[in-house]
Amino acid sequence: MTKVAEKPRPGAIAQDDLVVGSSLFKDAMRRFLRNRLAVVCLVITVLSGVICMIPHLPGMPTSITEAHIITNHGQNNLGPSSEHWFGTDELGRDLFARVVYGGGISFQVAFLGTMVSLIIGVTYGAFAGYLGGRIDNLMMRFVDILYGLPFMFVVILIMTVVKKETNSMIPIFMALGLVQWLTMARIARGQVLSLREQEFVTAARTIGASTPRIIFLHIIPNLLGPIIVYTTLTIPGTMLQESFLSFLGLGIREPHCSWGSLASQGIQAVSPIASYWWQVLFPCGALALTLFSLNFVGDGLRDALDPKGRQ
Amino acid sequence: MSRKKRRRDRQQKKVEKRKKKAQTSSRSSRRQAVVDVSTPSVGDKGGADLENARGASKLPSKPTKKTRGPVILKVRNLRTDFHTPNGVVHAVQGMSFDLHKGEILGIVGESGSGKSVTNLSLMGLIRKPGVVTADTLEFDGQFLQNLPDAQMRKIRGKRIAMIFQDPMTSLNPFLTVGDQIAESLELHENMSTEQAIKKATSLLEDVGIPDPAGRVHQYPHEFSGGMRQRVMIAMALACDPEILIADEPTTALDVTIQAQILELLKRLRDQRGMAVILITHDLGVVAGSCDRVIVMYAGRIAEQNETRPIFKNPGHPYTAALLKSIPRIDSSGKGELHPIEGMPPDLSKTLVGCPFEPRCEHREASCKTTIPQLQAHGSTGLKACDVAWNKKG
Amino acid sequence: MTKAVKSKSSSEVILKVKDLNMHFPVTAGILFRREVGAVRAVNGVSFKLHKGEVLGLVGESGCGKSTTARAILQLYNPTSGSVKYKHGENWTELAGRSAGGMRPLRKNLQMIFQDPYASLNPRMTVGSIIGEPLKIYNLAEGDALRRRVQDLMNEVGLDPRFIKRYPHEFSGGQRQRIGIARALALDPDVIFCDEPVSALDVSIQAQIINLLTRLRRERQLSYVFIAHDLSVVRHISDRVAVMYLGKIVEIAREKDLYENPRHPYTKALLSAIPVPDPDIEAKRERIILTGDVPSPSVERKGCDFASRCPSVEEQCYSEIPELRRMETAHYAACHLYPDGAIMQV
Ligand SMILES: Nc1ncnc2c1ncn2[C@@H]1O[C@H](COP(=O)(O)OP(=O)(O)OP(=O)(O)O)[C@@H](O)[C@H]1O
Ligand SMILES: Nc1ncnc2c1ncn2[C@@H]1O[C@H](COP(=O)(O)OP(=O)(O)OP(=O)(O)O)[C@@H](O)[C@H]1O
Ligand code: SF4
Ligand SMILES: [Mg+2]
Ligand SMILES: [Mg+2]
Repeated sequence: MTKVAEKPRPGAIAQDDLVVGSSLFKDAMRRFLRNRLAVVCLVITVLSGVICMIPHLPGMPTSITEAHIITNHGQNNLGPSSEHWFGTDELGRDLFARVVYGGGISFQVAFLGTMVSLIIGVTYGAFAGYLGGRIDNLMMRFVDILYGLPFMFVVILIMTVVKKETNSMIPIFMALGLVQWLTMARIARGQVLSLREQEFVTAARTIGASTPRIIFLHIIPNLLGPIIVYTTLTIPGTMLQESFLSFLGLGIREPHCSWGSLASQGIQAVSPIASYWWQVLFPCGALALTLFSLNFVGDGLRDALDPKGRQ
Repeated sequence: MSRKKRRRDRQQKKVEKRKKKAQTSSRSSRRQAVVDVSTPSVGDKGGADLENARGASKLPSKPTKKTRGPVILKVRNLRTDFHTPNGVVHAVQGMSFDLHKGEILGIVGESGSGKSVTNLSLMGLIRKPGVVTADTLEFDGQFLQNLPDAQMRKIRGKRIAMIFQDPMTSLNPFLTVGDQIAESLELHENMSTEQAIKKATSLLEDVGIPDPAGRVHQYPHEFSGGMRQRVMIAMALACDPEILIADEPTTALDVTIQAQILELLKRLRDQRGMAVILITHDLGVVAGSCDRVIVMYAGRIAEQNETRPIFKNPGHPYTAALLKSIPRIDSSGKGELHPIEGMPPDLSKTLVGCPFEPRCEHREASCKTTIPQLQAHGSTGLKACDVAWNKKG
Repeated sequence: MTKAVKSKSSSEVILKVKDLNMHFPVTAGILFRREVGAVRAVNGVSFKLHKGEVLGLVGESGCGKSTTARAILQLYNPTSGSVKYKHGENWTELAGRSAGGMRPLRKNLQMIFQDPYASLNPRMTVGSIIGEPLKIYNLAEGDALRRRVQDLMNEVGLDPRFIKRYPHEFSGGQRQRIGIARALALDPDVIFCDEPVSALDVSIQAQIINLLTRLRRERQLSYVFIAHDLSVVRHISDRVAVMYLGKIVEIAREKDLYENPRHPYTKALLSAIPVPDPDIEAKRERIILTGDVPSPSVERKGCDFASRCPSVEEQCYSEIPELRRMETAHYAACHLYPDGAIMQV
């Protein structure tokens, strides 16, 4: 006596895909693809990311990897030409190679730094929010105190203590990640505070699910929307901060480079006497384009993941 | 098939013709048309006239012994469409009814049947993807359809007031209750602040709030849910409206407080001769407080009648099914309830038959292919069903 | 017409709640939280539940119905009181158990929730929602799990082909069926139904009530059925308890309570329910209460209902009335009836 062909709210799905249905993810995907600007920006980001990462991959032709450190006396400060597309710097190194190679570094720092902050921040925030009460209070006061410390001071401290001689980039990821997880933790906690009062979490408790199971299976997947969005918006931030560190000489060391360090060198090369504009324009242009694109991708994702904003 | 199509064409032409007429004819001839519509007493005339009465905008509405006054609001062929990316949602599909002075008109129906949209459309409150059309929307001799915004605003709030379901979110938490009631008085009636507060105090007393002089200076959070709903009613009453539209005013409240609010509405009807449209999904509320009832299904009127016959002699199978599906407090019967299986239709599909047909237990072959029009049921009612399933009717 | 036989609940008691208190602290202060008072959401609730019985729990919004259910299930840690559950032959105390200590007992005590939209994880398929309890207790895996889930879906009237679908693709009534299937998965003895039909349209409400009635008959379930709709409660319950401000003020067999209410609050409540029959409505006399429900955070020395009660006496302000026997299995807490024996659990 049961009617099978009951239909959910009008317009929600078509009658034909009764059995398969559509997941929230597919829905979001469709909404995202409808947003032209976001799609274009995503393509730009992915494309520039792929191009920049090629020289960093093992087993790839090394022309760019080499070109970006090979100094050519007599070819310094040349403007863009068919041989050197982006011109050369004051040591005669090919700027195109440096921008591509440096982009790879910037992307790595930004992504890995963000991942570090994501993993620490979301887990910390989710536990604080879910456990609540005194534990939550303590955990969040700790975050507040860290917030109070001047961010650059911490990073500079880490960089000077840890880095010293090594040329590894791991300390940069750590330093940036360690600072950025604070905001991530706050966002995650805020979301969890409202999620844990939802009845499906109570339902999970009544069927005997353990706390880690609830957090990792029921709560974190539901945080995904806001967190993915925040992540896409954090990546540009991390990229900028890496640039800033490099600008201070604490980030990437010569002869390696990132977009930030290239830009800082370029700015020094602009003077009233001789304006080597290409040394500023190309690294800054690449940085700006990527930052813009990531921001639009983030906006697009936020709209797509919000089922209420169905357009 | 072709017969059906011809019939549809004919109807469409009729509607167009009427629209043209409404646009061009002078006011007096419109009034004439009005009389035309309301005089044919469908009940005792034969097939030819019935056919005439089936036009979507023609609706015989007979003032009955219970309805107290003249018609104050006349609605003909009200339609509201929402143009969404997933298609056009026909939320209201040709509502026609009259509201008389001094009566409480109940509108009942399942969630999504278009009760709220109907009333928002009347008030000109439907926003962008929504498009409202109507042949007639006449309030006290004024045609509301194409009224400029500024004039509509004057009517809204002053002469037609509205209260909503959620008393918790409809009040501004940063203003005292008195200020909020006074605001509309200062706006519409040009009262001074002092006068307005005085009036606000007496309004609070009218709606049964104890110690109104003290309460008038308190903030909404100091009031309970039932009291806030009473404050909302006081606000709605501030300018002595002729019509009060109450959209599920008691759904968020407890039964004991619901009883207080319904008593208040009945008192206002009796003392001020106010006309009330009471939207609810609770048939019990309807039975206790309404004079006349419209049962809505899928954006259309399924049935309209005085309250008693709706319950005692329903004309539409949907009404009967609704009544059978609810458990009653006054019987200990432990038998099975009779749910209405299935779901309401998708409002974005074009209708070809009776919208209730897939769920109806009295359906016949013709129900699938002809859209039933409103027709007489008993001496006071109208039903949108062609099947003579109810032997009494 | 199939008359569902009102299944005779056996006289065997399976759940005893005694003097249950659930007080939520009200805190103040920004840096150092200190308690400045308490919301007495549940304030001395006692009752027994028999095997195969449906006990209705009614009362106004905020009177503590949901909190009672959650405190019994140890979803909140009750402030004080005892909850005993008959596990096999032995009585087990639930109050004060840790989450781990409760886990083996949760199989027997399940819950169905009010909001069919909020009670299902939107990121899980129907199959994994219904299968989750089976997984947690390692009761089934792989194909066997799938088959169990499909059986459960059949049992609650859902098409098993929908197993891969997400909750947002279902209507409210169907979602409520998913929640019921999840509760049934572990084959419990007692189900706490927290307003399972309040969010549904009347026509769909009837489907769910019929389903719950059928399941109860087939599986010998006991329900604690919470609702604020007294007509629904009357339809489904064997006994009904009326709550007011965290206390049970009257508890009796369904027929006794509705036809011969004793407590002034029950009387007022019953008279306020609209009946879908204009003739009866016209004749009914309504007891319109004045005043509002007092705040549950204020401690009272007398009867909680005194501020609104039409038959209030002087004693009502100074002495807390206890649940006393009116007739067989009928208890009310009101000073108008001072003679009966005090209820024992
Ligand atoms: N802005 C909108 N865009 C698209 N569709 C809409 C919009 N507003 C309302 N609708 C649709 O119009 C129909 C009628 O809705 P309405 O709110 O009038 O129902 P109702 O009878 O008041 O129901 P309820 O009892 O739930 O309040 C619904 O199917 C709804 O989905
Ligand atoms: N977690 C909590 N913290 C503080 N107070 C709470 C909490 N949960 C409930 N309360 C309070 O306890 C009282 C009882 O709430 P409860 O949800 O049990 O009521 P209810 O009878 O289920 O009402 P409803 O019919 O609205 O569901 C209310 O005053 C509520 O504000
Ligand atoms: S004890 Fe007193 S106040 Fe309480 S219900 Fe009885 S008569 Fe009313
Ligand atoms: Mg509505
Ligand atoms: Mg509750």
